[in-house]
Amino acid sequence: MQVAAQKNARCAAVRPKAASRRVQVCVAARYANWREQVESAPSSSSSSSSSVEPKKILMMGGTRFIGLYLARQLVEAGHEVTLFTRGKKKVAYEIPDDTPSSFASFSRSIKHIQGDRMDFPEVERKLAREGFQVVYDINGREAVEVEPVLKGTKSTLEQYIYCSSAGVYLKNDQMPHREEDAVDPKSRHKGKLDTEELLRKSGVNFTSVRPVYIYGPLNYNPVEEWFFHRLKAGRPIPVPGSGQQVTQLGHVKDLATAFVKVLGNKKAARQIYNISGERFVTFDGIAKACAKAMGVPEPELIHYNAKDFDFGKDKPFPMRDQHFFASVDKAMADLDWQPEFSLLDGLKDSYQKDFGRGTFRKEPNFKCDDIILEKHKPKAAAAAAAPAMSRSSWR
Amino acid sequence: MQAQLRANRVGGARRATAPTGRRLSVKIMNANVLIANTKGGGHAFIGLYLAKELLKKGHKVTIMNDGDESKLTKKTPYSKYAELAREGATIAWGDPTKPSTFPRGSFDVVYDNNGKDLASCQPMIDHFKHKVDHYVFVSSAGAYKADSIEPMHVEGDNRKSTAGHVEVEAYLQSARMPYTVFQPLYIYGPNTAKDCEQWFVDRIIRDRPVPIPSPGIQLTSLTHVEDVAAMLALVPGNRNAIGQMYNVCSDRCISFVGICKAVAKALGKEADVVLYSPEKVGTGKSGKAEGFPFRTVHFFASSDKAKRELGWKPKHDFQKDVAALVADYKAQGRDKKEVDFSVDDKILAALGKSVKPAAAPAAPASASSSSSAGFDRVSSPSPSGSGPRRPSFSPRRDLSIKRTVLPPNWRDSVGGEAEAVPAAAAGRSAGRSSSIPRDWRSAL
Repeated sequence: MQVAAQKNARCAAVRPKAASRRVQVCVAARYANWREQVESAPSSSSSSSSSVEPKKILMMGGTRFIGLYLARQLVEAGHEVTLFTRGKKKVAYEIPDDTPSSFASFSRSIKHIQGDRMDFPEVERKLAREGFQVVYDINGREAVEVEPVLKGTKSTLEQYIYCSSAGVYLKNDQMPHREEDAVDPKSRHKGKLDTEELLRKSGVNFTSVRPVYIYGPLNYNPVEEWFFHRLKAGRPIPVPGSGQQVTQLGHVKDLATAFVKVLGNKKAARQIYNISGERFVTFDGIAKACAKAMGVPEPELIHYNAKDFDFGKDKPFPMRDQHFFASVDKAMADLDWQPEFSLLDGLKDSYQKDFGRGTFRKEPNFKCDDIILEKHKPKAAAAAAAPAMSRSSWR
Repeated sequence: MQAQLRANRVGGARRATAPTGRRLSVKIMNANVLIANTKGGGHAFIGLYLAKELLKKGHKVTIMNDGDESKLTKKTPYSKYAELAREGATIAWGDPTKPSTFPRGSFDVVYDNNGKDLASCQPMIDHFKHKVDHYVFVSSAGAYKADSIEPMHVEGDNRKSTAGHVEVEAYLQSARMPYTVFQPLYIYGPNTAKDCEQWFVDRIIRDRPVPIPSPGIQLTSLTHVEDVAAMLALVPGNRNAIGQMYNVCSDRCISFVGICKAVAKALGKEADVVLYSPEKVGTGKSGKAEGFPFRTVHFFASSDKAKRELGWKPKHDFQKDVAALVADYKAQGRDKKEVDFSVDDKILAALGKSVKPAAAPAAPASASSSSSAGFDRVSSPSPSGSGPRRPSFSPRRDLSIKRTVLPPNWRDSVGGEAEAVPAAAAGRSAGRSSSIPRDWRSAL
């Protein structure tokens, strides 16, 4: 069967290191519905990454959060991945999903170039003649940081994949944000915008990915962690405004998968994609969903007017107080990608592999909560302050 | 020519990706289509635009409208049926619950844009059983149950068990009809039978405050009727749509305050948004507010399924359309027409706010008196219609007076006192007008 053989070859190319058993299963599966595939019109798989040959990939960063998952997926897909970091953290950093053997194999495969990306001549020098074909720029903030990378990889670069942010969108009453929408030149993510602009002007084959709020095990940004701390302490959760603000969370693994799908994808050339969860959630909803994920009862929600308070530099809530969500249908169509994690499943994953095991990044800081509670529930707050009562009396 | 039923996909099992390569779109040219159209409400003009869209695609269209022809043809959208007839559609008037009134002919595709429950839909379904290739039911996304965590409605989500539309869908399944269900949300556009954004224009164009249920950021889907018609018109010949349900809505939603801002911008004015709680004011509860055109919770849906499976794309954008909508409003002379603002006034009074004087000054109400709905208007335009307007009477809040009882004839004891004793008036409490006699209690 010519067609089956073709698909067999493609299958094998994707998994060069796989045991032969895996390839056989792959072939068998393909055989099962070969008839359908013969009859079908040419599918979009020619532009999907499953048919991409192994590439020499440079990742700027990769030891903190997104990169941890992305590097692993790329290595598993058969690519040669090099991380460019200052070396402050271990190059191969263990994640909860790792098994001893998978981590061992990852540690063996991952490569490293030590350097400071803010030292532009050093960057250019260290990248020259390495022959990188694809760059995943995960930690770039300003446009100037990208220039030396472009110069250093000039002769061999095929694709530059940049991690931008949906924070660049201009606030609008009409939602969700779509890739063609106006961007906010005054946003604090201006550097991301400038970088996208630079990439566009440079003429290079780039793809920019704009995530919304990312969550998952090892998240260093206290998104779900903020709620988990309060739920664990049995504290009421203060939510600004009505709690009806709509936002969106995206699991880090789904983001990593999307990044992988961009690789070698012709449709993604010079395109921007929003990447996040498929559904949107209200602020109140996140609190409730986190409680469900933890298996604790629904928390008490305290709604307050943020303008009534002055919190100084402390953030009373981990999210911006506005509707903030983006449509991912462009990515789903072009990249043949779909988020695997529903909100509840994703929060369970994050809880079970991270917070629920007793690990978190930031110590709980209830300073702002207490200021709010003092105004909204003075009796309860006074009771909490009284020495006779313990924290657990909140329950 | 019976199309294959995909009954096991009913209930909206969400497909992960497009059926790549398996999308066989057999184009049936010149299908004979029957549209059973409703006699009023937000869906009324779907029939008109759907007919136009189908005619453009080359199908033969018969639109059978419910209701009294003599009365309805004076109103939009039915007044536009003459245009449709000129474009080649057959206009018929009949009762969708009485098959004997149906137009003659064998139809390939039938659209039920009329029924809302089994009683109104069943006769037509039974009549066309085994006779059509495709039966389309225009349902409503209102059947979805509100979700307090993830507000967006997606096909397959829980629906209200009491919804009449859900019964109809179950009947279609059990009758093994080759059906497709569409669930629209709020629809706007020219020739509508039911106001949508016009409610906002009514107030902003007259410089009136716009009472919006708190918090005002609720998101709602507003879809242009042409986009709705375009999606519905993709059905004839599309076997993939059989057994499926689709949300019909724009891929954008907008907040209530956002609608105010967009309308105000189109009018070159500033919107005076007044947020209120329908529960506290007593004009509504659990998602509804008297006098407000939309449900007061988030109400928006995903149309990704239609985009993926039907290849549909919305062409309209409310923020871009609003200028034309406002121009339409003015062209119809609606800015000159009288509008009933009694519910607005009730709400504003309960909040202690007043409308800027173009009319009589509203009664000032103490913010603490929630039972002020019955608060009488103390200062009304003087019967003789002469002289400067008397300042209104403000009850002293420290005395916790909920209602100040004045005899109906208190004005009689006001002689030339107002002008003669201004100093004495000043000696009284600060907010009091001088026009109420000191001995008014004696008249009780």
